[in-house]
Parts: sequence; C-alpha cells; structure tokens
Amino acid sequence: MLTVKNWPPKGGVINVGGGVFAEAMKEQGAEVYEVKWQPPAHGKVELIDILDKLQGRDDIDEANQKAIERFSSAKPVLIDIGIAREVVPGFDDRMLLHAGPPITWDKMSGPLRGAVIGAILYEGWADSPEEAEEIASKGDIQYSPCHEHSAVGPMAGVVSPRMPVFILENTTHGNRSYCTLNEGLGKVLRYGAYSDEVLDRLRWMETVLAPIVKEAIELSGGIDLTSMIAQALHMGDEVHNRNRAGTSLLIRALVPYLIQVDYPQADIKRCLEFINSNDHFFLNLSMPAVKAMLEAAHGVPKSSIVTIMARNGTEFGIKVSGLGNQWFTGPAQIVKGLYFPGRSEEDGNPDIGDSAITETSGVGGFAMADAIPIVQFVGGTPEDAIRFSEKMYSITTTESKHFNIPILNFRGTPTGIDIRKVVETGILPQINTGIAHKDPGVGQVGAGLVNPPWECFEKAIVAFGKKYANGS
Amino acid sequence: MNSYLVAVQHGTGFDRVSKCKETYRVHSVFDAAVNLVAESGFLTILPLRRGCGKDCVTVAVSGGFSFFALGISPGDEVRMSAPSKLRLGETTVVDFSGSRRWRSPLEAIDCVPSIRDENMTVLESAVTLNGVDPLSGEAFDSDTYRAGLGSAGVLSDIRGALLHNDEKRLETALARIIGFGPGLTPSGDDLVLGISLTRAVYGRFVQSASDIWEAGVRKNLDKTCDLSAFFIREALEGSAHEVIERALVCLLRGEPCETVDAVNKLISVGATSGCDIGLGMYLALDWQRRYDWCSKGW
Amino acid sequence: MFKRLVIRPNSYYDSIALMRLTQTVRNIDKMVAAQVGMATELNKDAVREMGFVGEELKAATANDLIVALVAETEDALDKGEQVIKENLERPTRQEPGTKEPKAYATLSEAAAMDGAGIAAISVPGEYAARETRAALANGLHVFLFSDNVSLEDEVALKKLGQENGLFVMGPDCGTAVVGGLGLGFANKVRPGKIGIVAASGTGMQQVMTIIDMLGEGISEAIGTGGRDLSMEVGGITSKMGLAVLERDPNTAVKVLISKPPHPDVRESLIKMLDEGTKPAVVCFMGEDIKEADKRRSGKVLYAGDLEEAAILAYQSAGGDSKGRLYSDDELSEMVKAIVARGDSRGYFRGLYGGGTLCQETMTLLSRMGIDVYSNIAWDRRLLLEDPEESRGNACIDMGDDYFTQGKPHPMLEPGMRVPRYLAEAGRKDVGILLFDVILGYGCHSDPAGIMAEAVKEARRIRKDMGQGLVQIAVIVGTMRDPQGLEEQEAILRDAGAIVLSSNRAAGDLVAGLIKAQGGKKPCLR
Repeated sequence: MLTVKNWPPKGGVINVGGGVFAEAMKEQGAEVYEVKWQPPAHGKVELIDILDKLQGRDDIDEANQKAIERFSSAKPVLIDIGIAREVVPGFDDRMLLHAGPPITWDKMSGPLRGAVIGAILYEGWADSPEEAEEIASKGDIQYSPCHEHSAVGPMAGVVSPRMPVFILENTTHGNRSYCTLNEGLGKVLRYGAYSDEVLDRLRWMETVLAPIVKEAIELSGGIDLTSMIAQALHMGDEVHNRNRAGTSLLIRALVPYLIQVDYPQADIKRCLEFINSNDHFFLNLSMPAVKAMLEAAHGVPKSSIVTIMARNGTEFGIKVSGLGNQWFTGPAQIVKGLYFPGRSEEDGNPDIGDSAITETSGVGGFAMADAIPIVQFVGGTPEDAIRFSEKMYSITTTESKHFNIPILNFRGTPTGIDIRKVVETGILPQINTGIAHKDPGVGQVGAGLVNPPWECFEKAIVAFGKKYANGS
Repeated sequence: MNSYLVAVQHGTGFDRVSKCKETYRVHSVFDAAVNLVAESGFLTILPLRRGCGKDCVTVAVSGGFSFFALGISPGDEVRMSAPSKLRLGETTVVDFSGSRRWRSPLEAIDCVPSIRDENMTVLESAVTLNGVDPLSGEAFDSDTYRAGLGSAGVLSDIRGALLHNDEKRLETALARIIGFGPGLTPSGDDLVLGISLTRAVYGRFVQSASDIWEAGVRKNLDKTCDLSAFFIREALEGSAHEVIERALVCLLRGEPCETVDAVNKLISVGATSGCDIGLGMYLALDWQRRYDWCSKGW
Repeated sequence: MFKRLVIRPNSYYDSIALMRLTQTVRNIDKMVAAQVGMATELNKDAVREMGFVGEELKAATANDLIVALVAETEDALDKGEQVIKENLERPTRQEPGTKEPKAYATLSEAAAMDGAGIAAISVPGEYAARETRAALANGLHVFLFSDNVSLEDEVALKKLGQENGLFVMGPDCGTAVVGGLGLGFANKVRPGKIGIVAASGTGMQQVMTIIDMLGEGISEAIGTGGRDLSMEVGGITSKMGLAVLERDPNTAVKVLISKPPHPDVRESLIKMLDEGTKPAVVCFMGEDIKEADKRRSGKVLYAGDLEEAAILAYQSAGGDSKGRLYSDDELSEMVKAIVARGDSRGYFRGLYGGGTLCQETMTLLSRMGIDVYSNIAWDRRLLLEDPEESRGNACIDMGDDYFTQGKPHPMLEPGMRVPRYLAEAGRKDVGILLFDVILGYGCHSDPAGIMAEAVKEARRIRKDMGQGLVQIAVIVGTMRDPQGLEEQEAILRDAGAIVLSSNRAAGDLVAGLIKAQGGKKPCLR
C-alpha cells in the first residue's frame, strides 16, 4: 500500500514557478530543468477547462500523427504553368482571389485595394483607376480567398482570371496547388501598385515569361520542390523572407531546359534576367509547395493541427485540420522590425499575405536558425535566430523529416502547430515577413517579425472543444 | 530577477506620484539613492539609515545594499502598478502599503527660535575642521572652488547686500556662486541651500521686509543643474532632507550634545555637500544673530 | 602642456564618487590639473580659465558632466581619460552576458527530457493542481510549495500520487530535503541518521538546524503540507514518508512534526510508529502531552516543543545527553542583566515570519500563564480584531495570508516586517521586541542585514523617546547556509539585538522578562 517509486528521486528537478527556488537548487549543485511558466491559456478559466478536456487524449494525438504523416509524405512537384481561369478550381469570370481570410471591399486595406484596382485594369474590366474602383466597390466583383482555391499569394495575393499560375502537384496524394509568378520588387501589384509600368510587366509575364518557363518546366519533366527547399534552407534561406538560394537553385534547374525552348533568344535572355534579378522569385514556389503539403494534412477529424495561417491586411485567419473550412480570425498586427530609411511603423500596413503558409509548414520564421543573416532585419543576434526557432518546438507536434537546421545538430524544423500547445503556453507562432506600405503602390517599407493575434487560437480552441471535448 | 523594496517612511512629495498626477522616470541611480524625475521636480528613494524628507521615501534594505543591484537605469518608466505599489522599470517594485508618513523635524519649531552660542560653536568647529573658516568663508585647502568662494569676497558681498537690502548687488553676488563647484550639486549651490533653508525657517516667525534673498536666488537657478535647482527651491520653501532639517532644528533648539550628533551627520552628507550646507547655515544664523543684536538689542 | 575636455551629456554621478575620481586623476603622474563638475556657466568659466575654449564647451548645459584635464604629457591625459572612463562607465545594470539557461514552456516539455525525478511547483494556487497532475502523469514526485489549493484537490492529488507510488509533498509545503537536496526554503544541514516528516516548513527548519548544531545530521526530510493530518487527507503523505524512513538504511530515528492531528489519524500514525523498528520522536505542537502517553510503552517519545524534539532525536540517535540548548541559569542571568538595565519595561511584541515559530511562542507563554494576543490565536478571546493593531503582549504571524496577499512572504523579503517593527518600537507601552531570522537556500540573501538596520533605527527612535528596548532575534540556520549563521548573528549583535538560535529559548527569555515585571497580565478591556 505504501510503496514509493524512485525514492529518493534520481536525476534532476523540474522547477515550475519561482526562479528563486531554481537558483537555490542550482546553487546546491542540482540539475534543474526550468519551466518558464505562464498561466495556461492566458489564465482564462473557461479555456483551461477546454484544454483539460483536450489534453492527454490519445484520439487527438493519433489524429495529429495522421495529419503529420500526410504532410510529411506529400511530395510537391512543379509540373506546369497554366491560366488561372482555366486551371484554378472554382474560378469564375468576374472573380478575384486575394490573400488571407474572406474580406469585402469596404474592409480592405490600401495595398489590397490597389492590387484589386490593378487587376481590374489588367483584365480590361475598366479603363481608368476611378472606374475600376467603382466596379470594385459595387459588388460586381466576386472576392474569394486564394486558400479556398488551393492557391496562395504573397502580400495582397491578388489573382485574376487571365494571370498565369504555377501548377504544383503533390504526387503522393494527387492534390494540386497554385501561385502566380513573382513580379519582383518595387512597384508591383502585390504591394498594391497599378501604374502602367506594373500592368505592362504583368502583360509581359503573361505573354512571354509564362510560356517560356512553362515549356522549360515541361522539358524538365517536373521539378521536385521538397528537396529544393531543403537545400535552400542549408544555404541560408528560410524560404519566406530570404529566397536568394532557392531562386539560384531554381535557375540551375531551369537553365538546361530554357536554352532548349523554341522562343527568340532575346526573350529567353530577358526571362533569365528577370528571374535572376529577383531574389524572391522562389517565394512563389516555396509557398505553393508547402501549401500542397498542408492541404494534404487538412481535414483529418480530431486533428488540432493548424493547416493555414494567412492575412488579408485587415484580419489574420487560421484553419485547423479537424475543423473543416471554418476560419478563425483576429485583427492583423503591425509588424515589428526594420523599416527602410525614412519609413516607420506609421507607414506600415498591418500584416498581409498568404506567405505565413511557410511558417504553418515549419519553415519561414520557424526555420530562422537556418537563415541567420536575416535576423539583422529585426536587430537581433545569431543567438536570437536560434532562440526563435527553438521556441517554436514548444507549440509544434513534431520535427520535420525533410527540412532541418544544421546549427541545431540537424534537428528537423518545428512542424505541425498544435492549437492546444499554443493556448497552453501562450506562445504564438513566429512569423517572419515583409512589410507593405499602407498606401497602395508604394511597395515594401521594411521587414520584421509578427505574431498572429491570440484571438485566432482562442476562437479555434473553443470551436475545437465544442466539437471534440467529449470524445465524440 | 525582480526586486521588492519595502517602503518604511515617505514624505508628502510622494503623493505626486502615488496619485498618478504626473509621469515619473528614473533620473539617476547611485549606490545609496535613486532619483526620480517629473515636470514638477524630483523624488528620492533612500535606504532606511539615510533618513527621509518631504520628497523622499526610505526603504528597508540591508547595510551593504546597493541600488545598482536593482538593474534599473536612467530613463526607466515609473508607474503605480497597484494602489500601494510603485514600479520602477521592469524589475523593481516599491511597496508603500506599510509606509508611514514622514514628519518634518522642523514642525517642532513653534516660536521664534533663539540662536544658542554653544550650538553655534559646535557648528563652527565642525565646519572649520572640514577646512573652511566660517568667519571669512575662506577655505584652508587649495581646492579651486573653495578658493573661488573665499578669495573673491563673494560672501562678504552677499552679507553686505543683505544688510543694505541691495537687490542688484545680491543678484550679482549670487550669480557668482550658484552652479559653482564640483559634484552633482555644485558646492556653491549647497551653500545657498543652507542659507535658504535657514532663512525660510526664520521667515515663518520673523517678518522680514520684501525678501530679496529668495528673489535673488530664484533668478539664478537656471545657472545650475535641474536636481540642484530643485533642492534649492525646496529649501526656499522651508524643506530639505531630514538630516539637514534635523541639524537645523538642533541648532535652533537642541542641547549641544544632540547638536554634535546631528551636525556630524550633516557634515558626512556627500563629499562636500554637508559641509557646504553647514557653512550656509552658519552664515545665515550668524548674520541673523548680528542683525538681532543690532536691531533689537537681544 | 596638453589639455583634454570630456563632456558627458545628461550624466549624473554621486558627488563622493566624482570627488574621489578627481583626486585619483589629479594623482596621476604628470597631471597638472583636473576639474570634474556639472557644466554650469560658472564651472565652464573655471574650465575656460584652465585654458579651454570651443563650441563643445559652449554647448554643454548644466545637466551635462564636464571633465577638464591638463597634463604635461599626452600619456597622462590618456591615462586620466582611461581612469575616468573606467570609473564612470561602471554598468548600472547587470550585463546580459551569461547565456540564458534553457527554459521549457511547460512541465511536460521538461519531463520529456527524461532527466528529472521530482518536480518543484510554486505557481499560483489556482494553477497548482493542474501542474501537479501533469507532474504525476509524467511519473514525477511533487514538491508543492504553492498554497491556496482546495482541500478537495489536495485529497485527489495525494490519492493519485499514492496509487502511483509518488509523493505529493504539500500543498503549502515550505521545506524538504530529499536525497541531500534542499527544496523550497532549506537549510544546508549535514547528512546524518535522523529522518523527519513535518507538516510545517519552519518547524522542520528549526528542528533540522538544532540537530545540525548538536552535531548530528539529517537523512531525509519530507514535508507534507499543513493539512496532511486532517481527517479528510488522512495523513497520506505522512504515512508514505514514515514508511520511506522506516525502510531507509541511513535513517536511525524518525521525527514527526505537526499540529495536533485528527484523533483517528493520530491513532493510526502512532500505531504505525509503534510497529516500526526504529525509535521515533513526535512533536504535535500545541498539544498537551498526556502523562499516560508519555508512559506508554513503545518506540514513541513525545516532545513539547521543537527544540526538545531535536534534542530527543539527537539522543535517540546516540548523541550525548544534553539538557537544553541554553540552560535555565544562562537564561535567568540574561533576564537579570536586562531587568537591571531597566530596558524591558512594557509589553512584548513578537513579529514572526515563520508561522509555526509564532505558534510555538504563544503556546510556550500560555503554558507559563501569560496570555498572548495574536492574529492567528485559536482562542477567540486572544484573537486580534485588527491584525494591524497589536494589544497587550502579542505575537504576530507576518507570514499569514492577511499580510501576504499580493506581497512577498517575510521569509523572502524580511523588509516586509520593518514598517510594523518600527511602529511597535515607537510605542511607549512596548518594551520587548522579538523577531525571527530564517536562513537557508531560497530565503533572502541577507535577512539579518535588513533587520539589523531596523534594530538600529528602533534604537534611535527609543533614544529620542528616552526609553530602553529589548530586541531579541531568533535565528534559524546553520554554519553552512549560504548566508552564514555566524556572520548573520554578528550583524544582529553589532546592531544591538540579543541573538538566540532556539525559539524555545527565546520564549523562555521573554517569559522571564515578563514575569520579572511582576507577571502582570495585559489588561483585558
């Protein structure tokens, strides 16, 4: 009756709470595992109640394992380029896709409005920006999130029917994902610019760039993006805010075929110059690649893993694998970080873009320790980069099988954000992002770090509790 | 790690921060003092043994404690985090819940003070021992600043100006000492503080003609640093740190044995501050005494 | 001749530091003159007289620090500037330097490292049960310092622990020594033959430190939390603890310390001890020991107070028989000396950080016929209506919830008691002040240093009042404690306090002093 196990207890002591006691035990030479304790769920009793019902649940853990298994076995391959209207599922004639959760014109922020106006002009639905704005606001246009069409878009993320898109296929599960081709930096549609220069570039991309790259892709027989991302991570990218290595790798993969395509030399040369001059060209492939993987993991009943994090410049929204197509939203946050000379937080638009899909998949901010140079954007040190990544293991289910971090002894990147862990620890996912100017068309004003609003996870855990707390 | 300081006594000045009337910041941190600053002036946190004051709070810490250990820095925000808790920066809380109201020792002076010769002798010897001849104001040591005070005859100038009620001459003389000398509170300021406090306490009972002293000092306060100017302003209004007030009370109504204690404590304030303040008190009392002899035949 | 001017904008330095620095700089070889001060117009003039000119000097304001150096060689200037730099740039905050230790976000995350056998939990009470459950689920013993855990949760957690062969020490467990490691507030005691199970942290500390002082040591010390011997909990942790001590080859004597248990629990515990193979000492604090119990054949010895418990345990472990830590003669000599000085006229006020020690003093004095008011008195007649307002002879537990709501416990912050201590010192009808100073890991790093300042201030206050005051410190600690028993004692003695290492002895001394005043009981209004 009075058996006592492991007494006196071998090993160290886990200290939860007062740092004074941790210090006192260390002073005595004990091995102390310090828990940086915070009241769970921000101390909210009703959330703790839900958590208590959801934790230690084998069925949920198994569902998460299944979701992770689907994610890890997914194999995104770049197979083609197509015209959005023709290839993207559910696309309509008078439809524009945008980044983030659903939004109406009246709630759109500057860059998104600008991009919508630009897209209307590009499609020829209007002849002047004024007319375009009128059409945009009249309810004539159907707005739909990229994510609801297996697509993703950086920043404003606007996709219009005529635009060419990369087509990726997850060869394991057969699902496809889509993303436009990256326009480069400066005055570009994704930052809300719609000048003639922007529209001309889009037309050139449609008529010259897309067909040439499409043919090269066809000739290549498809490009495996999982391994390309894995390599890019080892070359200093985190494939969200830094894509220099990924872009280089892509060029290496494309060039043997680009030189074979049947187009004028001058056009091919211009295409190569265009890709080569844009460090972020690969972003529009890393995003749909991980999107294809995450989409495979979506829809596993009882899984508490986050499959989408996306922002439309006004709201931040997440989706959870086991909670169907419901968005859980909160206000998009202002990005903290380095503003370009002459710019300040005053100029910054709230967090925008689907690019947080990279963090959702365990790269981007989660793989910061792979991309140490970019901590300079946030005024951090290399140790900070490592700490950012390490912290994310506290809210994720597992470590990536494909993507790893050399400096952490090739540990897999933190993968599979579990809403239970986020709510328990109060630690929010760390997103590494560019900052758009709040006015349309100005462009990038800086880069830095941002977190999702807590509300997204609070709403998600409540919904999850409602659906699964009783084991049903 | 967080630090928790327990306040033992506080002066009325702390109402300014506890009632959230103003935003305070940490101004400066020393081994045995932390100064806070806002628009209206300064507040000081001191260890229990250092005594209190109108704009002070004393806290229970051990003898060897240094405020440097708190990890607070100039510019840190100061705010009330609960009704009786003052938060300095991110790390330090001062708990006022048990703190008693400080009462000025000067409250004990309730009639025209008489200047006792024995007490004056005590002060004179203390100041002399520390290198100043109070009668001439001339310094015995060669410190530039003291030589400056003495040799330039500025003290006799001040006395003369006061005697003749010569506003202009007083102002010019004060301009020659306020802001003069080494240290955080320049020596000249300390001297002016000693005189100002003494005159203010006297002024409560003895109606003097328009006080050219106060006006003269105020006109020159922009010549010194903010902290020192604040202390002088408070002295003009009749309050100073407990150690200074206690010394003055003892000089005015104490027994010589108490006075020795109190004056010794005063002299040990700062590097030269205590001594300079003591000199100021001596001069003010001496001038007052002579004035009384002459004008009233006391 | 070489000159250099250094201006530090918005810089504030202690005058003494500046004067000392000026002196040091002037003493540098080949240095001709040095001037350090706030950049007031007059000081700037003085600097100009040294031969300095320029915009920089002109622009400096009265809130900037100015350093002017004149020397025969450039080297001397460099040296001077170097010295100034080193002195003025003394960091005001600790360097972030040392690498942050690895921290885990949750207990389960830390447990997954598979390196620990026990969890020490001190989170706010409302979350403590949850963390304890997580620890038990991970197969960890629990040292639960947190209080404000419901009795219902305590019973459930202890039962869960028991089923899994895991200790739940607490809630509200102040001290434990397991496998030589002190948890919570723990004294550094030598390893030895005596094992302790205690419901009270400070009670355990008092017994441990006296045993240490006597020359014996501790095998294990298991805390149970104050409610373990209630009917509801049924002594789950105490019984597990006693079973562990019974089996432990290093333990020769078992000691059990608690408030008087529920009768049923008491009986089962005594039975358990009687059936054991090792001698046992029991101290049920505040319980009147029945002669019948004392005579009872068996392995149990009954102690009336903590000092006695320590001494009985020491003797049972084979130590030389020693009567008391302080002999009656010693104590009565002290009483005589104090009474002769006339310092002790007035009421006694004890301000305790350790609740058990407070309780013990009240019991000791009441056994001697002296009524003591308290904020924690069981006797309603003696309960202080307002804990802030003492009356008569009084003992205040300053660690009681009333005083620690949203504030640190006096064992962590001895300063919490100082305002009250000085208020008591300022009362004409008070003549004896008593306080405890508790050393050990987890406690304040210099409790005596803080109380010594209060003792000195109290003396100053009494001097102004023209009255004497007896100030007694009970110090609970060992020579190997991080604060150092001897050093802490010396600080208090130098400040003018009488220092004793046993609360029982302090109680006797106070009783002697009160009786010497004619045994007057405080008047009951």
